Amino acid sequence: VTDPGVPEDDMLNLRWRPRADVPPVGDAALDALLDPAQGPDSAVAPLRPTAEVLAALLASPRRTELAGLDRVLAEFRAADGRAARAAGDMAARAADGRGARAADGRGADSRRVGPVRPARRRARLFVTLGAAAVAALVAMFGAVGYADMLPATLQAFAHTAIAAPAPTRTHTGVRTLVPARGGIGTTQGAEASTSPGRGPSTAAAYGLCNAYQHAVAHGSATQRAAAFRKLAAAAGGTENIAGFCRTVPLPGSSLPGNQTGRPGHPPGGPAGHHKNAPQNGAEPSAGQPKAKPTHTPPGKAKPTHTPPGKSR
Amino acid sequence: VIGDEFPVVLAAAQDGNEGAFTVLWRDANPALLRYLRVISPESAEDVAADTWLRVVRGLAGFRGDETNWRAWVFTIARRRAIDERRRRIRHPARPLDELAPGDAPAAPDTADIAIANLQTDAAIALIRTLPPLQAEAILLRVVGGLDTHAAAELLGRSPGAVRVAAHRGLRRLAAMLAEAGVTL
Repeated sequence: VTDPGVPEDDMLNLRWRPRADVPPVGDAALDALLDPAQGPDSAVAPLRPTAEVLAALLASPRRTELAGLDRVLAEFRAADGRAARAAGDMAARAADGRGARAADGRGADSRRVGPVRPARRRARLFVTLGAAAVAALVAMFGAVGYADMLPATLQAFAHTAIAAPAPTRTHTGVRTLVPARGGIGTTQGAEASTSPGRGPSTAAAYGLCNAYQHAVAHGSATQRAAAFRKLAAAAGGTENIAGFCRTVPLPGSSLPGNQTGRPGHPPGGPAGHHKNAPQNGAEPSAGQPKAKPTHTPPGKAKPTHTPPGKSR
Repeated sequence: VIGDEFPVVLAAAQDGNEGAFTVLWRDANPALLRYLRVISPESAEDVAADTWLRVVRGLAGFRGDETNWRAWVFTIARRRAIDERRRRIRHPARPLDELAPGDAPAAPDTADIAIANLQTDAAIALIRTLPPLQAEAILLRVVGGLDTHAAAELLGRSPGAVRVAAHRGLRRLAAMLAEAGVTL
């Protein structure tokens, strides 16, 4: 139907419109066209009309394109970039900027927008961050206090303030055996005994002996071996176990917990819990409170039995 | 393009110097308007004005060279144009008789009716016929003065994609002009 020879009366005759002949151009020529430094004259012939179009896009600005400056300048005066420039102390900077603006006679309405809002926002941010930091410190203090890891003075404070365990270590870091209810600065606390000085602390040594007794009575061979190995390591050798467990005092007491027993076979059988220890051992000394036996602070007592899930 | 003096001009503008800010504005606003007349023809002036308000508010915190500056300004303009387009979709245009006097478009200035301006208008109209990505790629490179990487970052495309889009746009433009047999 596009053949020119077809009579126009017979059917619709659409004129054939040949495609414009655009020779292929390389990418380099197109890149050069996009370079603003290149004028239209430097473009290759097929691209010269295109280069003229692009040059027209870069024509000198017309008046309407330069209208509206007054409105922008009014906003510029109001915002005043100087005060908003600081990245650190925004509030102080904002105050300086307002003072400078007042000094050079610029608009008083500049307080309307601009640096004030960022300064307030930043101040709020500082307050929020400060509160978060304080909360984190308090939480950390509480956690460390409950873990009995604070220095003695702070631990005593935590004991009264948040009912954390009483201080059980001296300022030098040597763990002492202060009765949990001994109070701050009481005679008991001041006279707290230190560990025997050989290996682990007294409480740990007592626990090792107790654990071995329990393993011998109720544990498996593996448990006995593990308990014996730890006890031997604490005593400084297998030959020292007997003397070690004989001399180790009860926690909170100056008397040996296993005075009459021999290693591995303490008197009265295995001591499952610390509260049984005084009954199995010697009589409480005269200096000890009778009504309430000393005990390890809550959470500090080592379990002397194997949890059900751990036994083979 | 301001050139070597740009850091000094920018620092002065950030220090509150109105003359320096005027230099920045006069350099960028015509290009900005021509870009916006392609991507947001219905509201180019409004979007440009809004763009400058945001530029003013963020000027103190801006750091960078002239390419970064132009990329920043055009990025704000593009986002504002997209917001304006969405707003117009949500709120269709009011009839003309409801427009407040201040909203009425400015009457054309006789001085603007010149050959050069007509050529600029024709060029903008021609670029507007291209697919959007091709038109934007060409405008950001030529009018915005951005390199391929800056334009790619602005458009959220890869540099290769932007380069290909610009090339395709130029080829299409060349074909249209050859087919029409006219030059500006």
